[in-house]
Order: sequence, then C-alpha cells, then structure tokens
Amino acid sequence: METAEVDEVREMPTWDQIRQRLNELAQERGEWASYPLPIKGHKLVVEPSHPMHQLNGATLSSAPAERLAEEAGIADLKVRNWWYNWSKSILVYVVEEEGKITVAKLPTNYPMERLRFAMGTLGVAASPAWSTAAEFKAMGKLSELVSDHAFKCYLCSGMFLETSKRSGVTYMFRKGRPTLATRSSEEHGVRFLAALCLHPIAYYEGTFAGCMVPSDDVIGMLLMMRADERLLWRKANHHPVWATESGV
Amino acid sequence: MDDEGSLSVLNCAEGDIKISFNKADPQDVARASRIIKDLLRRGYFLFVEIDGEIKKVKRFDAEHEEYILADGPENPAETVPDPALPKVKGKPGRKKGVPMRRTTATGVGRTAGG
Repeated sequence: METAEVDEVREMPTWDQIRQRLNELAQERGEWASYPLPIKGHKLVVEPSHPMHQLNGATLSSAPAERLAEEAGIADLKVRNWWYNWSKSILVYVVEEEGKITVAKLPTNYPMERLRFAMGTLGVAASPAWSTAAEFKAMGKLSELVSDHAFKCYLCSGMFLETSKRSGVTYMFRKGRPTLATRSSEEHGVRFLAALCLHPIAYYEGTFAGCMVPSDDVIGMLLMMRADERLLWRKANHHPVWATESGV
Repeated sequence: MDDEGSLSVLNCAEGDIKISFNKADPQDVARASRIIKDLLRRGYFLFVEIDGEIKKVKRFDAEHEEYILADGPENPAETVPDPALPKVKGKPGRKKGVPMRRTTATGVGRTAGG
C-alpha cells in the first residue's frame, strides 16, 4: 500500500467513532434513542414515522441497486392467496404471473431457513451495529428490572419467564429472539399463543436483530408487557409457531 | 440520589443513556421538562416505576412537573383473564400524577415490528 493510502486509512474514523457521532447528531435533534446504523448485507426496516425513515431499506453494499435486484431474481408476481398446510408443514401460494395462475408449495421453518436467519443475526452481531459496551449497559439495566433468579436465567440461557398478573399469560423473554407467549392450564397443558416480535426504532430484514442491542429489545418488551399488555400485542408482529420468524 | 430525578432512554449506540437533572436547579428541571414533553410528542413510550409496578405515562403536566399515567391496562384480545387468578387491586380508568423530581422514567422509541 502506498504511503498516502496508509495515511488515508489511519485518518478514517473507527466504527465506534461513527456510532458516537451519529448518536451526538441524533441527540442534538432531540432523538435520544439515536439513529439506526446501516450495515452490509441486511436492509434496515425503519419505523414509518421515524424522522430518519428514509433509511428504510438502506444497506451498505458495493453493488448497484439494479444488479442486486437482478441477482435476487425478483419477478413480477402477484400473490392471490396463501395458507399453511399443517399436515405437510408447508406453505401453499397461489400466484399470478403475466395472467397465468400457478400454485407453489414451499417448505417453511426448515433447517436451512432457520440457519439462514440465525447466521443473519450473527452477522449483525459481528457488524458495527452493536457494541459490547452497549449490551453490557443494557444488561445492567435489565438486572434492575427483574429478580436475581430471572437475571441468572437470562445470563446463563438467554431466556427468562414472567407471568402477567393480569392475563395469566406466561412470556418467555429471549435474547435475540421473539418473545414467546404461552398459557398453561391443567386441562390443556401449555398452549402456544404467539411469538411476539418488535424492535424500538428499526430492525435488520431477514434476521432477529434490531438496531439496538438485544437486551434493549427485551427491556422494551418487558416494560410494555408490565405496563400495557394490550399495547405490546398491538405493536408486535405475531408469528405462528410454524414460522421461521418465530425463532422456535 | 435524593437531589436527582432521572430519565433514561434506550439508545442504539450506548444501550441506555441517562438524562439526570438536579431538582434544586430550576433551569435543569425546565430542561428536563422540555425533553420529556418532546419525547412524548415524538411518539416515545415512557414508563415509570411506582410502588414496584411499571406504569405507562400518558402525558406530562409541565406546570405541576408530573407524569400523568395512562388508564388501567386492559387484557389483550388474544388472552382471556384467568378467573382463578386474584383480581388486580385498584380502580381502572383513574388517572394520577407522579412527580417528575422523585421518579425514574424509562423512554422507549417507537417500535418497528419484527
């Protein structure tokens, strides 16, 4: 590498500096939650009313947008109907392409799809989006909100349970995965209600990762569940147990 | 600390940021009031802890420096209250204010689904 190039690289800011400067800029504008950071490989999905909604779909990629779309093989398809076939564990799509109706049967939540989601989430963890310091800070805050036993479970397994005093629903809060809502009864045993997924500000498409560190996502959902359970259910996406997005 | 109320906000870059203010300093208190009102205007959710329970803030009364809490929470439509469980005490629908200077609040940005 030429000396000038070395000097140029040395003068480039680090990701920590970029994240910090973005945070300062956001706070100057009154956005105390800061702005989401675009990363390579995964598009951002930003809350529609967020002032930086123009970041929706943003990703750091060296490929031109047209080539990306071509490589993705996106055709002009119209989905007329779809449903889940429980007996065969497949998704059935009725699609229309240029006036012709066809039926497509796709396996769902199969191992490679689950692996793809998990690898994508790991990719976000490896990216500049999250910092160790931020996750430790969030975990520290979470430790103030839950019992010692619950925090020990979270620390050791990435999960803890809490049952709502109002509804009796048991929530399994999980690091880096949707929260599972279940109800137990002597008559029916444990019944799965939904996998609830939501992230403050934004998340990365095709992953379980939000733009905030995973423990912040857990804190947000925990506070909503305790204060206004209806709000949590209204705001979260509900994934059925058979969907890859449920993280089950 | 006795002289400080506080507000923390979940933050993309730092995990959690604390906005402290000295309740003995009128300018500090006024600044905190402006931030709180602005957060609510921007659609943030604010939660406070009262007697060990988490409550959602509906609005902020800047004149009295109080968080006005939301009405009693309802059960989500997907869940039916278990009749075997004891009823949660307190009348639903009663709004009350809690003083900003003695309360710790947590702000959560608008959510994007997932």
